[in-house]
Amino acid sequence: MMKSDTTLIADKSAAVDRSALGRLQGALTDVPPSVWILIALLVFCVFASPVLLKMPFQLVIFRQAAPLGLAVCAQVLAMRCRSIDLSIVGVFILVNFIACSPAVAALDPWLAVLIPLLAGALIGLINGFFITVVRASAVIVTLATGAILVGIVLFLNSGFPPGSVPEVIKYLGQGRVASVPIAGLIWIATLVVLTLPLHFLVFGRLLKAVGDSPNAGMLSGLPVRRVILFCHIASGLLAALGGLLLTGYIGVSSTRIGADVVMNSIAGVILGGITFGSPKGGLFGPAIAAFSLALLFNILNVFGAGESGKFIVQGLVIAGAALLGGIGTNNR
Amino acid sequence: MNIRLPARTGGQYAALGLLVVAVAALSVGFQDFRTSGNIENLLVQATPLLIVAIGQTLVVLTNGLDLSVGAMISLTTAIIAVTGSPLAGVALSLGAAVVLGVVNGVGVARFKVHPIIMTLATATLLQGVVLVILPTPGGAVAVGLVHAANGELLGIPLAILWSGLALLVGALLLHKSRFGLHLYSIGGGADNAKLAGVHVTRTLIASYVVCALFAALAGVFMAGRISSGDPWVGASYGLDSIAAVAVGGTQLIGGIGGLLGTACGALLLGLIGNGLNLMQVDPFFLPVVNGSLLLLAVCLRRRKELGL
Repeated sequence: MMKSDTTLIADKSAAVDRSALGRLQGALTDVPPSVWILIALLVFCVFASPVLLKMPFQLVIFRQAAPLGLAVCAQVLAMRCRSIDLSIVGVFILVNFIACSPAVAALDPWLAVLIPLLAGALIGLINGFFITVVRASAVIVTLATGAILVGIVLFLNSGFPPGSVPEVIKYLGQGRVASVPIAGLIWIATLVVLTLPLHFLVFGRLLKAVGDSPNAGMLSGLPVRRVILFCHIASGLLAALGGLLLTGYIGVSSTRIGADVVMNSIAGVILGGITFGSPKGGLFGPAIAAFSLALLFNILNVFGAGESGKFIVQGLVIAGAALLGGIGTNNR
Repeated sequence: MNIRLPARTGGQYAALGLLVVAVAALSVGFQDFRTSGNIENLLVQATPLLIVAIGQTLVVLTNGLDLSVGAMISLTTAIIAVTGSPLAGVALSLGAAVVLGVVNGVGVARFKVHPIIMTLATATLLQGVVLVILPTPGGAVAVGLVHAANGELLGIPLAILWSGLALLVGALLLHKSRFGLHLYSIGGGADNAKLAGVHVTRTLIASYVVCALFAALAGVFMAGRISSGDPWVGASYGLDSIAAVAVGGTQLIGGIGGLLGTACGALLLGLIGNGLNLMQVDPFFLPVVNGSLLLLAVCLRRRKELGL
């Protein structure tokens, strides 16, 4: 800081250059890492596997990315108010179980979709209650609710034959409108709906303030707890929608569904240029991140990298994005 | 002794009380529980969790978290099973643990990456490396190591000796060394600790290295116990060790808690598995009970912070 001030006085023309360069650098660091990763992946595809760039494949990847994209949205809301949602995997499994249970499948199609979503919101409410009213650590609470949900579903499932996925949910997960996957359209629609409160309503500013400093928010009389509670309810709801799309996509009841969704959702948020309580950052970066991760997994599959390669690349990508973010804040 | 540091004690005595109550209830309710065989079994089964949780406590006290301990355990069993020689295997594993700890510590302390993110990334990366070394469970572990993990000395399982030794080392580090005092001071407030002359970055890196070393030791024990390598054997230990620390009354915001609580927490988690087994409850129900206990534990202690 001191150094740049002295150069400013000593050499004005150089200082102007530097500030322009600085502004360019600032603009470039404001671009979420996911955009660079997507560009890198696309360039890689051009040379290594052009077939992945064809429209049908891109649409397939788009559909694959939708459940993760919704989970990433859920994680964005939690992390922006300095919380975290580790119960997403539990919500995915719960939604799969509810959607496939014969009692729900026999109901009206509307209810078959609505009931799992409400269950997700309820889990979010429980998380939010423990975090805001009991003031328990979000890591512990969402970890515990996730473990409890997985345990309950495994316990209930051990005696039941697996049911089948209702047609309406299969349609949401697998259907297409003019060759565009419905799951992807639902994802885009959700992004648009979420952008509204985050960018144009007071809620977005409240979230910014709460994420920046919950204590300062409390002192200024902001409804900090309600914001966090609402974020967790919305997080549960979004996770449930993601779980529903994934259930429809795979088309069977499964207790292994969404095994790595927590991990990938956090990866998506970090790659999207957002960290705990980060005041800026819309949903564009995280959405690109979800798509990039889906593309990355497909590329790794094409090259037969297997599970181990997938883990290594995933770990490197997250660590790289997080460390780059750390270097950026250190220099400021 | 604890009168000197009442503010740093946290909920450790609550955990001790809960442990005593649980032991008393199970001994009254189940004759099978009282048998020395069952209690030995319980202590042996709790050993790896206890060893990992000791390291985890050190990191949690600095307001950190280490999710990569599970992958470290798996890596150790894989290395030992593949190399075949216990000496080279253990040495390589400890070396890998130092590297992991330094990477975690530098990321958290120097580049200010949130510990959850940093250790989640290294855990994923490490899990991939483990799967490269040993794709499926298997390999052979030297007989000496198997005996060291499963043997007995004067009728007492060696495992109890190992966990006692690990606790002793952890307690010396935490309560009798400058390093331990610095961990508490960083957990109480890193900025203040820095102003008071604590090398925050260095101490944080050291805490992650020590945590990874304890995880590697737990992995050595695991390799002997299952007498083979398993790329997924440690998978649940990342979260379980945090659960043990949290149930033991150490606060995740750092600076408050200690090893007495962690030992009680690890034993309580083991006890629950044992008790459910005696009650012939479906094993799938175990995470439900563990999770509920965790929620109960956090409800009992009020704190000021909201969120993480």
